[in-house]
Amino acid sequence: MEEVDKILIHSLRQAGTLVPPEIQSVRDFPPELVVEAAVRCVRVVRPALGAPLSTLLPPGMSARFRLASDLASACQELGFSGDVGYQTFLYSSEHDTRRLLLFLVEKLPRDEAEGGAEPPGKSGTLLRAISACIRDQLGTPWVPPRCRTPRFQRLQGVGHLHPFSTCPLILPHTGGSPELQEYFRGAAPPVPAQPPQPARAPPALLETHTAQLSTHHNWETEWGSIGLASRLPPQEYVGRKRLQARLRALESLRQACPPRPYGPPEGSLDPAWLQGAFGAGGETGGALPKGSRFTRTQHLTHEQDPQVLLQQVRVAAEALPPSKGSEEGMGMRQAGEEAALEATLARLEVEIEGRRGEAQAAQLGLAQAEAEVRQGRLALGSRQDALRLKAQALELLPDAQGNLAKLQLVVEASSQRIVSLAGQWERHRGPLLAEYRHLRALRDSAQLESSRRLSEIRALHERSCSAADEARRKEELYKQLVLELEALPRDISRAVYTRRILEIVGNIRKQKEEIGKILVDTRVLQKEINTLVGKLERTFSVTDELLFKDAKRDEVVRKAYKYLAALHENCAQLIHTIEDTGTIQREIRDLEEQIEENIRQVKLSSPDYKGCAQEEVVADFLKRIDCYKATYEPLDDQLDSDLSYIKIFDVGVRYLANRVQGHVQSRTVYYLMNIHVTPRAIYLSRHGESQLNLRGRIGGDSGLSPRGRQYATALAEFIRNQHIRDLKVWTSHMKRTIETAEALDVPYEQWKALNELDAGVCEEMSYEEIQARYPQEFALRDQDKYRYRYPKGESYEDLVQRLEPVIMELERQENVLVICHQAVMRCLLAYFLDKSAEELPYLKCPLHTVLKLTPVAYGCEVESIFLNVEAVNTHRERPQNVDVSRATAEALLTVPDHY
Amino acid sequence: MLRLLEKLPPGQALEFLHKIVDGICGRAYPRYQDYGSAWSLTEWMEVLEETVAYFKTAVGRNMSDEEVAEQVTELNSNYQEAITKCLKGRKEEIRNALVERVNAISSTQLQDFDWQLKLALSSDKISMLQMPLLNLDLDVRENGEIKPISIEMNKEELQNLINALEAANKVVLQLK
Repeated sequence: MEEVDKILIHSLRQAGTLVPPEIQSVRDFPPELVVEAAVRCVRVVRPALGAPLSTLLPPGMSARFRLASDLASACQELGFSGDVGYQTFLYSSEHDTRRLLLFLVEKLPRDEAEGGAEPPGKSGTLLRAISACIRDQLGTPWVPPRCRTPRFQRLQGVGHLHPFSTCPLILPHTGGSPELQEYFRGAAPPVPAQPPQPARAPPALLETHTAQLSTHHNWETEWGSIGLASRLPPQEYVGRKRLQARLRALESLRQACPPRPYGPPEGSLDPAWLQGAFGAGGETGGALPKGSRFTRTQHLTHEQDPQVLLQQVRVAAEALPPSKGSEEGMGMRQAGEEAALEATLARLEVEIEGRRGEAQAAQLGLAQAEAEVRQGRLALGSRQDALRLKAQALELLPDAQGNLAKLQLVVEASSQRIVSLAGQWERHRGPLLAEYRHLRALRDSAQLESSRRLSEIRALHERSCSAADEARRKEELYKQLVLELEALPRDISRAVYTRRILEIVGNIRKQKEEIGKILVDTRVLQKEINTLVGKLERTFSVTDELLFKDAKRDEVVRKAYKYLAALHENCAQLIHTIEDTGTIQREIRDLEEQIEENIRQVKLSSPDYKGCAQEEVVADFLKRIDCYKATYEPLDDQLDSDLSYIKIFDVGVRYLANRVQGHVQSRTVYYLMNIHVTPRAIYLSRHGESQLNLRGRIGGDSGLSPRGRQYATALAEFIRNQHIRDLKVWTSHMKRTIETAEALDVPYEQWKALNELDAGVCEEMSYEEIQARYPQEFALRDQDKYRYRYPKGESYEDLVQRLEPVIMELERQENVLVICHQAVMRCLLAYFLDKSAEELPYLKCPLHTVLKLTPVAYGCEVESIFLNVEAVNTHRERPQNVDVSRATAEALLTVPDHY
Repeated sequence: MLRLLEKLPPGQALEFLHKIVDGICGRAYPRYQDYGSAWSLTEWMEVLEETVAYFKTAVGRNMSDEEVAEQVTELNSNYQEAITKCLKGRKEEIRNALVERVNAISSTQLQDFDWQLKLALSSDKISMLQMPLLNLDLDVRENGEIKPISIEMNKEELQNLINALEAANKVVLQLK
């Protein structure tokens, strides 16, 4: 947008609107400016429309309104298709204004400059050519080098790219010697041919021209400022300037060099010397010979001195001729002469001094020259060497063919020698290589062998280890067996067992024979029954046929037939009855067996038959049943219907509850209906050791300690190994039991009723703290732990009430694992083991121990399994002194150790 | 010593001499293939060296015409004439060339330069740069070899360089 605005503002300025420079975009346009811009544009586009409109926005509201409306209609007349009205100008939005102004600017006549007259002359042509070339280059897309047509090659190739380097040119000019003019006329090459490469001609030309131009300019300015002021003709001025410059240069050079007392023998600074010093004829002009600087310095510094001396001598000589003065002036003259002579003497002395110095300098120069000569000789030697080399090369050149042939011969000979050497090397190399390979193979095989041996040794070692292990194990087993053997009573010999086993085997065989006999009898009996039934049927049908024929004629026979039919019927009934009797007898036998089984299962664990053999128990109890039969009689549905009783058929298959009334009776029915005798196991476990257990504090809801987590995994392992069918897992709502159950990785149920006993104000306190803060409460609890209720907490009695639904559900369920807390576990254990309320709070339920309860008749079998994970002890025995006034030490006597 | 020059046809002598002068003045020397018919390679090298040395000595020592003529008396008069003509005509030019060479007394000297103006549109760090850069190529003669030196400068650096050069120019102007 900024670009657009810039263009727009530029166009508006061209149309005559004065847009202040601080306004950069259409957004900043005030209404006055919009109106002015629009009016000016309209005036340019169509003067007739724009003439009556004012470019200034009048102050009056109505006048403003009129002007804006006129302007809007003018714009519409010009063909503006957008929405335009007075509001466009007076209350303009940026977007509308920009659109309108763009439209107006587009309507403006095109700028003259674009297609207008071009600058005339050579520069114009050049510019045109350049612009055409650039347009040509810009108009074509870039093409990769391989795809270029000749035209593209010309435009985009590298052929026309040259370094823009120059070389000196010689341009013909007037003046100079006639020979030079002749040269320009004849032999001089044209300018484009002068540079070594034609591409260097334009830069060289440019360079030369620039140099000439700048020289000219410089001269002009200098002549204009200083030259005229000197009032000298130009040539003289230049000459003087050159002299000055040379003097100044000499001055600076002299300052730069160390002074030297004596001048060199030569009189003037000659260019030939300079030429020599600066390496005349040397093509590598830049590099100067060493040591020449000093020589140069001598030249430059002392060129004037000899002239000065000469002058002095001349002055002295002029002073020498004696003047023919008067006699009286003789003395004066002599004195003058004397003085002059003295002066001359002094001068001569000075001169002698100078000469001596010169001699020294000459010696120095000599030494220097000698050094130079030595250097030169060295250079000469090297040059001679080079020359010899070149000469040899040149000598060889004329007979190039022959030499080449010779060279080739030499080359061939050497190549043959190389070939033969290579052959020899090959000959030597073959056996060496073979030997090397052989040795390597040997080494490899040896390595293989050794590694094989190593692995064998390792295997042997392992085997010996395992054998040693096995031996140790067997030894242990042997020791154990020996111990067991020693423990066994000595009197029972093996023969007894053997005899008994043989007896059993014999019995089995006898029984088998009996069974076989019975089976045979049964089959014979069945056959007999079948033949008898068949005979009967046949007899009946024959008799039936005989009688039926005569029945129509004889009355007696008819009667007989009737009797026969009745007989037939009775006979069938009889047979049926006999069969029924058989089934009933079988049932009775089954029932008797069941009773026996029941007796065996239930009555065996009865306290009455403790330590009795199974057969004895069964026999005895059967006798007892007979006694019961004599004394008791069964309840009769009709006759005893006014009594309250519960009948249980076949251990819970069917219940008959008659006239059950009241709470206790109905609870009993409920209870009886919930219990079952399916063999199962209840596993009781406390949670794993918790953080608060570690610190000896009660209650709380902390997580497991590391050992607690270890127990959780051990419990999971234990449960897995038990392979329990349909195990239900119950936990409380507390963190420690849930964390323990999580490790089992089986579904579990959370019971709020299983939560630990609420210790009220003593939650998360250690026994020491409780003693310190509530000594009286502590003592009271010890006095009657079952009924004591913590302030704001629970007692064991409350807990038992709370646990009743849990117990009922436990009775209903089969295999259950209950992960609970110390007090809860005590209550459950007390229920299953039928402990009293006094015993209950002191039951031992240690951490990390699973109690496996197997319900049997008249109680439960308890198996305590410690899962071998250490834990703190949380069991606190009842102390001796439970009086309220007891000492702290006495109260804390039985507190278990903790951190 | 310039005897060998006589092997050249007299018509070509002047042209050959002029070409040699061109070479001294920094343009192309004559090429052997153009004169191979006249001299062998050894002779060619000798004649080239001798002629160049002769011209340089003649101009550098600022010899008078007689002295110049003395050195080539052994030659044919045609050739003498050609040499004199050439020398007279080109004396000033050769002198300028020699003065230039003496001027180049320092170990390194600027021979030529070239420049290109570029507009860097972006760099590896900035996507919109639009920075004009000047690439200045300097051909510097160092120990007789031309060594190209290329410098890329932005506006400020170029201004610094120009300022330094102007200061140097002022010192040179004071010397004049």
